[in-house]
Amino acid sequence: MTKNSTVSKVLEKEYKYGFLTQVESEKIPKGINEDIIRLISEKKQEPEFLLDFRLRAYKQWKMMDEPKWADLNYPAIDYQDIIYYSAPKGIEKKKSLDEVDPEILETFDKLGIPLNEQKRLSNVAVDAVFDSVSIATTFKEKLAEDGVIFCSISEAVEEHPDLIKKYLGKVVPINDNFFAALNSAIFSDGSFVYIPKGVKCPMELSSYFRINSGDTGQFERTLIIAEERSSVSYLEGCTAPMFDTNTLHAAVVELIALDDASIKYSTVQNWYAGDKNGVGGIYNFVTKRGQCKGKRSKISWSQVETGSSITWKYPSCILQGEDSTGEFYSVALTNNKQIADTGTKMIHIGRNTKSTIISKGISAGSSKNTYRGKVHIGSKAIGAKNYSQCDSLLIGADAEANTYPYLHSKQIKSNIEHEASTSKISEDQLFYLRSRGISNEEAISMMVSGFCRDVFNELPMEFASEADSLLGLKLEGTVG
Amino acid sequence: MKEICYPTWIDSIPVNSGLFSQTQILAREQLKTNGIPKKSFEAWRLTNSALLTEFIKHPLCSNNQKLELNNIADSSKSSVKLSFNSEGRFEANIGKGIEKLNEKEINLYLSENSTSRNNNYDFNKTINEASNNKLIGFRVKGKEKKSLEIAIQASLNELIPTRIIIIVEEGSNIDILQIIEGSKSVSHSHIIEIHVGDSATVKHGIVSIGKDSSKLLASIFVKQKKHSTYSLSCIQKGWSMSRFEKEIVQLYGNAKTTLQGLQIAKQKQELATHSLVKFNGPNGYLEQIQKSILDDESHSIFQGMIEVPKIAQKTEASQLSKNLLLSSKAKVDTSPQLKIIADDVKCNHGATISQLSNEEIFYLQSRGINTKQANELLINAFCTDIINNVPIEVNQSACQTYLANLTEK
Amino acid sequence: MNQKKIILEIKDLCGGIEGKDILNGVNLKVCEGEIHALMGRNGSGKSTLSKMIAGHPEYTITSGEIIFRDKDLTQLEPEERANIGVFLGFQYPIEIPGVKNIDFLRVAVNQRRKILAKSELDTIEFEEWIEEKLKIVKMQTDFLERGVNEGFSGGEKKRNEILQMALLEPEVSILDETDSGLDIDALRIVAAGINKLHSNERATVLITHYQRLLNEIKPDFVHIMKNGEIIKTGGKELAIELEQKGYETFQNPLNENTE
Repeated sequence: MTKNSTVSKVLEKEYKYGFLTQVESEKIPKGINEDIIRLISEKKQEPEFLLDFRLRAYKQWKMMDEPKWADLNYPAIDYQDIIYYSAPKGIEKKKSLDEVDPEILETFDKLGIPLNEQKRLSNVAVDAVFDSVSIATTFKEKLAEDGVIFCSISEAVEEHPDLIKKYLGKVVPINDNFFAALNSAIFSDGSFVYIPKGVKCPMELSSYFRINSGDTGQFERTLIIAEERSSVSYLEGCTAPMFDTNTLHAAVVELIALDDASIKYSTVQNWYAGDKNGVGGIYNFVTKRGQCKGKRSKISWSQVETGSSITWKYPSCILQGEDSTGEFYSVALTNNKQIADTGTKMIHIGRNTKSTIISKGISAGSSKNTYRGKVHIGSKAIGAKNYSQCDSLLIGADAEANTYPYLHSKQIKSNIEHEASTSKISEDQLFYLRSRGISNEEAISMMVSGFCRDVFNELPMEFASEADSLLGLKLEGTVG
Repeated sequence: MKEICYPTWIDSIPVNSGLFSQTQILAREQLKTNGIPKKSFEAWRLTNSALLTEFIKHPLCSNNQKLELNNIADSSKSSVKLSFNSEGRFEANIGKGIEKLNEKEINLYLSENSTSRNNNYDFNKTINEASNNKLIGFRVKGKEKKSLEIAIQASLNELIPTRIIIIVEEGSNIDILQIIEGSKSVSHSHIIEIHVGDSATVKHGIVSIGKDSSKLLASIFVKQKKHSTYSLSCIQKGWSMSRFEKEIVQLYGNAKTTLQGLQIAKQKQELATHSLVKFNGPNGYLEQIQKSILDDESHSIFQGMIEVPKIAQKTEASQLSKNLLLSSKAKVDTSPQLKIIADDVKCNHGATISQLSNEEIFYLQSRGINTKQANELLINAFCTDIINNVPIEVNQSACQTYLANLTEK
Repeated sequence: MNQKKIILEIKDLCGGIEGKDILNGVNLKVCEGEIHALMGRNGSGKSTLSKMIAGHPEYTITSGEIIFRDKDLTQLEPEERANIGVFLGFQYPIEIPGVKNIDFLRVAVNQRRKILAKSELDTIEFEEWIEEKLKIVKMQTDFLERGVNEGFSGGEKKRNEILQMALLEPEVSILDETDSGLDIDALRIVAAGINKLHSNERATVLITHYQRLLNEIKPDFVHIMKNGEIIKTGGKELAIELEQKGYETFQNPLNENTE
């Protein structure tokens, strides 16, 4: 039918970030063992405690098995065939942008993230990560005026070791899961954010992750600490060139919000998804967790997941502080042979904690899109409340949509409410729009956008438009 | 301790001869190899394994299922009562339109229908096969409505296994009422398999009420053909542990399924319901509701899977799990799940875990009703829709006794 | 009849939905400036006719023609029909949650404006322009910020339909039971809107059960539909007769064919 071909046309926008940057890289030998870990740690001139952290994690990892429960079928990963560290030559001791290979700067230009003083975005501070290292962080000085620390995690290790020591691995313990343990052992770089007491971060902070080498895994680590009464909005974007091999991306993100602090963490994930036949693409196995440690603290995850050949990701909130709030807003679009298994965990520990989950899955082609979420209300969480809504839209007869919520309550004075639906694009809605003169293609776009509206509304302005164009859709009027 | 337990227990079970000897040998082997399901099995993750261990410590009930079926020669009644009385016998009067299956037919049936749940280790079934030596089968024929009552009452410290097959032929119509009662530390293991033929209608009610430390493992396998209707209202109350596994397959879609479940638990009782509904053809319809009321330190488990493969276009399925917590120490685990590969479907599910609404209690109080009465009224209201669907006509007086006291504390 | 130009002509239209024949040869001629009322019982084929004119994909035409200004409509996609000036006011306007009313209206209007060789309106221009039109149906601007028909009351949905008609400036409007489910105030608003939008260059076809709407909007012709055919055509007095005698009276003997 013509309808289906239009739908696939809407969905099959070419991956425009698939180019490869020719840059001389310094890579360490393939594989993982204690020597490799020592080598990475040495290259980064890390303090003893961090090497120890890595080695402990490695020991744990060796004893762990890859998780099997997530319905994911993929060829076995040979962990000895991955290069765990790759950095553009001469970047290790970067001082200023002038020393950065112009090729790399141009790469970020092309990705729409100009780093140069003149061209860079005026209201967003960017930490640009290329393979295993952070290339540059913009607006560092300006942010420092407010006491905000925004830098690569390597720099933070050097300059703020006390903070790293205090918080690293506290929200996601080194043995939390297989991939978190792997990350803890060999993480190369990532972003670090510290917002001091009472400070509202004056601009959006953003990290942009670029995988460039085909045989290198990316294992970044992000740590965000929001002190009492502070707030920050952090954005994360990711792309990679098109390779016909699979690249492993196993990141760990830890967020800590103290009393009255709020962290908003938004992701637009657009790693290379592989081709139509499922060849190539990123394996995106990520552990993201936030701890609402303080009273009235709030952590909000928003994500738009469109890339990667496999995504395995459950940004979670541990709602420890009284009256703390956790939110999860997600759009996951899968096409061709992509697999996305994503959702969240809301662990209610403190009194009067609240959580909201809004998940929108769109599966097209012969892809598989799964929502998997857990709501846990512990015995002390008096007055806890959760609301979840998970909707799936199926486009095409081979697409699969699964919804697996796990709800657990031990508290009488609490409420959990979960709703989910799965359907296809409504013919009647489509006809209504077309009968007003809107083309089939545009009508589908509008309806898919409308389907995701509740989530898009949660994204920062800068991202809403990117998210929209990512879905290959036209969102009217939200961004001027 | 446990290591010693299984084999001794298993070896204490009398060995079958004849039709079921082979099945029993296999089941015993499986039990010996796998034992009590491990926590790592998703389907048993939440189960308290100590309770399961207790399940298999009793001797098999002594008079193992002597079946006496009497044909009522000129009966105008089209009803069968199958009761498992205290002497450990099945007694039944066969009525019009219901026939007993002979061994040959049962054999044929078994060869055509293997009731394995996802090829995993099916503990419920294995226990039953290891201990059970009889299978009772019925064929239901003819258009006029028939009824079948199965009453299993037990109060000895024994394991009581039963397995029943009901083949409901094309266009026929039957109400099935199962009453399962247990007290002391009886262990019940029951399997019922129902084949619903083309355009046939089955209304199935299960009232299962346990006392003391009685336990129940029950499996319900249903296969539905085209244009058939199957509805189940299943009530679980008061077992120290009970677990219902329901597997409904719409063989060719185009059928209607209604599943209702109610769990009423107090003390440290653990009541579980695991259901799987699979649509193997288009235009299927499912309406499922599962409710629980939990007092004291009780625990409710619900896992409901709906599978809609590609072939099942235009399926409409809804599933709702509603849980009412009456005590601060009770807990609920609920997981309504959808697995969908067809694009032209309408499926939804929902779940709520909450307590009695203060607003509603207040409203009733303001009309002069005291708190206790108000609570009772609201709890009754919560259960009504499910209770009302039990086919009580089959045995009015028994049902009334059981259902009337269902929600009282 | 004068030299009035024909806008819409339906010739011997037959067809139905899911293999079921509903229309059995409908003939209708609609000229500029005319208001037609199409009356008939439920199931007589009125809505089917309107869906076929608008091009609903589930309806199949087995034979016959639908001509709009010398163009064969049946060959066009639904959106193309709307673009050239055919408008269907739905009996049950569907809710489309998440799609903002104003976004939807702007895209629709700009498509139509392309055909009319007018410049496209940007967000701000559109907001100004629509303000006037809102007055026609007495709607507040906050309607525009909501999802298309999302949570609208019956009356609001129908007013939204008339608003769309006002925005798209169609040449022929087929309004399917626009009066159903309206209270008397809403009916007046809707009727006034329809009257206001009607002109000598445009034509309106009202599908209705009741004569009530025809007190507010004076039709030039009244057609009675039965079993998928128009069995009688007359002036507005026919509607009154119908109201008094009921549909039973009107049979379809070939000899009574008035045309």
